[in-house]
Amino acid sequence: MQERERRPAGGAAELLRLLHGRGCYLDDVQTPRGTLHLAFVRSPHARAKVLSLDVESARNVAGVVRVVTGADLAHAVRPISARLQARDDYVYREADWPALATDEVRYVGEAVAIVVAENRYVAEDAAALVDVDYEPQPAVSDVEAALSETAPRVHAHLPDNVLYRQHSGTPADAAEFNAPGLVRVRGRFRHPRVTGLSLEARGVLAEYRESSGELVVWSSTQIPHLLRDALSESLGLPASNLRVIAPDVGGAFGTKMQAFPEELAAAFLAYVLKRPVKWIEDRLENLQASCHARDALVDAELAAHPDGRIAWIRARGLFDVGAYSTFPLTCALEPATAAPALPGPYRVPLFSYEGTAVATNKAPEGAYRGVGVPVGPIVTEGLLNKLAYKLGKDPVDVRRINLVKADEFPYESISGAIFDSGDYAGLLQLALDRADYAGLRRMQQQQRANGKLLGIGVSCFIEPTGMNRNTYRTRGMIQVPGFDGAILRVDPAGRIEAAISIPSQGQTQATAFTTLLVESLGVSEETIHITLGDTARTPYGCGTFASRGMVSGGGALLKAARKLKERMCRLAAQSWGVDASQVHYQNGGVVRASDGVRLDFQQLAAIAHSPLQRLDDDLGPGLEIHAFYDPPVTTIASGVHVALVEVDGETGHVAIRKYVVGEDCGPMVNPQAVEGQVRGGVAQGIGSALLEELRYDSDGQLLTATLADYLIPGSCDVPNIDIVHMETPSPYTENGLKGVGESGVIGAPPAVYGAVLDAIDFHPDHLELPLTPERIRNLILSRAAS
Amino acid sequence: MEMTGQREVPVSQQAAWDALNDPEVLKACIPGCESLELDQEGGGFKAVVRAAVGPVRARLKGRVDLSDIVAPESYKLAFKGEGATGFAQGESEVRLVPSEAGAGTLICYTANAKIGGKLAQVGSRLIDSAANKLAGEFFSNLTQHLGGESEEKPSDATATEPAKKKKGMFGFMKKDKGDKGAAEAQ
Repeated sequence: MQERERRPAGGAAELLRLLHGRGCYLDDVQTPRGTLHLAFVRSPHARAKVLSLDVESARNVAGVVRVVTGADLAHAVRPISARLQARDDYVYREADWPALATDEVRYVGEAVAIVVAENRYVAEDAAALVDVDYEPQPAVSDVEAALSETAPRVHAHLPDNVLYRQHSGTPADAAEFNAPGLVRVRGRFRHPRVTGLSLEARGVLAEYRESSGELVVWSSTQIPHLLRDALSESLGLPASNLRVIAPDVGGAFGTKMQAFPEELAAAFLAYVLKRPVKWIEDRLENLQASCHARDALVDAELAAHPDGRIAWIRARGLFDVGAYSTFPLTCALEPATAAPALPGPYRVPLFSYEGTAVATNKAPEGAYRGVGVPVGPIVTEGLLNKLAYKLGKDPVDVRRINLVKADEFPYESISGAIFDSGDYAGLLQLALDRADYAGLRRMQQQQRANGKLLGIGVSCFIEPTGMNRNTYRTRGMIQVPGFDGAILRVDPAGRIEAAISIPSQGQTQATAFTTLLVESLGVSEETIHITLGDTARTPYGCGTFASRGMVSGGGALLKAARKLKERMCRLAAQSWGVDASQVHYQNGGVVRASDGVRLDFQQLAAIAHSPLQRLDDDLGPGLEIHAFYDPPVTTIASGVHVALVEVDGETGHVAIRKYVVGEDCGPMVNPQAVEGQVRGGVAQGIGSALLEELRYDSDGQLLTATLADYLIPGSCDVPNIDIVHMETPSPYTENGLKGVGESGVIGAPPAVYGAVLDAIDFHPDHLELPLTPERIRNLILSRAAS
Repeated sequence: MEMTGQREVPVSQQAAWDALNDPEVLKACIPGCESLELDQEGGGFKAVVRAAVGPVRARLKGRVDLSDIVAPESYKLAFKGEGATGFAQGESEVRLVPSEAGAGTLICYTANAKIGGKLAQVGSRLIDSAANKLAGEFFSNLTQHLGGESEEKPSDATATEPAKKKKGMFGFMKKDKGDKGAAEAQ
């Protein structure tokens, strides 16, 4: 690893603006005069025929402007279409998500009607008067039962409930898997259905401006440009007439990177009613009708040589993706992204994987921090723990012997992913030293003698970040462009507006982008203004997800900065009447090689704009640089988590006593922001391991639709998180940057549950997360019985 | 949700049977019942009932159908109601047994119900206690309607008579244990 000087923490201005209540979230956006408000009528049934809708009494409420049903929208608004490239190497069946259900509802919370009213109070009251006659049908609520031939079909036009299926690696029944002399371990692992639960729920405000023919849609979204694509397609309006603005967004975590029916409906109604329309999601809607995530059931087997070296991994995953396939990642998102995460950072010579997305009568699945990647370590780290137990080895040793070595990069994983750089074993050692692993093991033994159940969990993982176009091409995800853009607009006074296609959900990207520009251009922070989140002012690009902000957005910005410096050099050279090779850019200005004479940034900006300066035609006036950037690789960050937990054997309560993270996300632009990302992710990972679960009953009723039932970690559940960094730059990306947005939530679940199982000294064949006190008690009882 | 229970009413089996088949009596006794009338077409009753489960208030429109009628001993009923905040549907079996102690009648019932929508989402943890409370109120109302005293509300007499006073408190505790008159939620 190359030693680098650590950058100081970035500016606090952006954070303070948000923390001091000076942010402008969707509900803070000043509503135009005459704004109408929406309330959605949602299905209480998981699966039912809609026989009739009586909207008469709702329509008669004073203040109600319109009551809209599915039939009203059916011919005007095309359902949200999530498409994959048609190919032979996977099965994919489209299951479009309509703005409103028409003759059939497919999950509890699916909208069947909208009340448009002068204010939200009236809208809600009138929504309660919409009389819907449902004929309930048997619901598909279990992912395995959904695959039986007799199961009801979530989409009658499809032959069964399989929406996506892919195979990776060697066929599962190949003879190689029967090689003798190997130690085998197997298990069934369930990652619960969870959600990102941002503090600010979804929201949309849409206004049609007849003066300019522009439909402006403010949305609490991560993907302004892609949402504009989806709106354009569904509404049949040219994208040039649509403008999407993401104001400050109060958390998103992937849950706001889908195009949603509510966004479609609000935009459409603003357009046809010629009045602004607003909808703010409440928490009940957020938990039942926004996107859910994960919900994976994986059967897996690992075989190793007696010394612990992995011989092969074979896995089959079922992903319960709910009722519809979502734009832009489609329901392939979980099964496809779990594939590279199963071999993880290890050398696996033989691999077989089948991932299936299964439709059920539950809320559709979308992205959530890590997407399918956390499912990999849940399985593989669990199998490695079992292997260590079976071989009588330390769990750390079976990891160390299998990690890809520092001199093997670039390394092509068996899953097809290219690992560009890293030092996995070095990072493991760094984290173990920080945690005093040997000391923890000694303490565990001593405390066990005192009857205390201490356990230690270690997880090693990779985080694919800043996915490039090739990655989406490989997956067939044709609605994700895979690149980002940056524009640098320099005014005559030398001030820079940098517009980047990466909006912020509170990660302080503006601060990090400013740092990149200051370092690259050598200009002062005060001369830079960062513009994000508005399709009318930012270049086209993916948006903020898949840990792409710094890699892809930062990469585009650095590329633009490089082009700007070249242009500055040419401007200076023309001004001096010398060849461009005779000048170079240095510290915010251009220097003439012959005598050291300098033109600074402001002077050059003036030259580009002033009529006094003659410029060659090919150079021309004005100073605006555009750059699009497709990262040359999907760069792979890596991490190691070490958790020490104490389990109360009587109550099943878990207390996390120590938590260490070893993080290698390449050069850190803003260490404070990196650590914030890691900490937040660890908290969410603790949630998946111990608390969070969206539970449906056999009729498809959601039983955890309030925060009294869907438990998220509070400050008492999240320990002090000690983070130790390694900064291995990627040889391929701009400035060697790697992403970090999802790391915490990938590493935490296996470290935490591994520690719990270590504490109770039991590795069950069937692991159900989260490990609630009840489940832990049951495991303790099963252990006693076995 | 399932519940079973029994309550004694101070009237003959026939009188109890008549009451349980009389829309007017049912309407008066079902807590939150806005309307209940015989459905001339399909048999059974059409009903509108308001109910609250925790913070959710529901106005359910639906119907009740009777089957396996063995007058004056037993019937089965199926109920189904739907409103903006969700739905409730289920079945119940009601059996009337002359009480051993005297002229009264023991009303034994089992019920199972499903709820959905906001009712289930916000109220699922509260539904058992809410259902028990409603059953309790119904039988109190019925007892009162049939000329007996409500067990729910202590009357003047219980306040002055030591024996009955003891019964009030003691009876309440017994009820909680699922003895006499208590509905046991499972």
